[in-house]
Amino acid sequence: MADTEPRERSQQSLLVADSDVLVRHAIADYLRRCGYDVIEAASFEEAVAVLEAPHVTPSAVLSDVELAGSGNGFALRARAAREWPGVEVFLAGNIAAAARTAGQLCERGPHLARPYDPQLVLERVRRLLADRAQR
Amino acid sequence: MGSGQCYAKGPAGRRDGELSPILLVEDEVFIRIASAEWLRDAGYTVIEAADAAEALDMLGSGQPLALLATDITMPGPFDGLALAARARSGWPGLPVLLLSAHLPADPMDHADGALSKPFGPMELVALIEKMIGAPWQTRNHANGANKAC
Repeated sequence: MADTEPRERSQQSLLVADSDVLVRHAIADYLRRCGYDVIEAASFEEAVAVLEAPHVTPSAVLSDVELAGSGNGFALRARAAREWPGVEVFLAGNIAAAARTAGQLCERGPHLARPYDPQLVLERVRRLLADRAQR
Repeated sequence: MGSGQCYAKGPAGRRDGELSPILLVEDEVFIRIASAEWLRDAGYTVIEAADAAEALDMLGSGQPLALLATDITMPGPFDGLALAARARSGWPGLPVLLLSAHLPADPMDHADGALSKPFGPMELVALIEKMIGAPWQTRNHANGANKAC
């Protein structure tokens, strides 16, 4: 039922990791309006600190491929797969840069294109969380 | 609960307009997350910036804002005092609040309000409400003629 969705979603926490404050704020604000509890990280280090924190448990991460700091989005996803396997990391980024980085890291390409399509992001997050609930 | 010392001028002249967010600038991610959450819980809309460069990007974007709340000690070429000075010269209608464990001796020479760390949610919310009013009253202080060119 549509009117129960916000309540269900409000229990889900998402981490948005993006080093461009204008992009990060826009997508975080959109997801908050959709009922999610959104945590923002401006760099690889901030994203890792949030994921390491015992009191913060994001269900999923939306990260820019070209995240600032000592690691990029691919490194964040690799670390999450290793240390927090229950946390899905969606990557978004410039396709050319993503392909270049993907070649270096032998990772999959980005799931989502930047600038973000808010509806697409929402759809992907909903699908992920629905799949997880079924499991 | 914190024990922050606070200083504040009263609300600046309001302008009509849409509800505007607070720009919160803090490089310590968990302090930023907690402070933003306290303000959102109180009903304010918050934009989070991790340093002065991000804050200047947001200010330069033309995003209407109700208040700039900034830490002082931050990495990068600008600290919070430099950011406050830039904001006050470029966006003179935008109230500026300093949040720091190391406030200058004369904080009101640099800003319209100041709160020393550590502080708690009630102190932060009360001071911001004193500066710009309750959440449903927050208006754009950086729009129109006040906005930097």
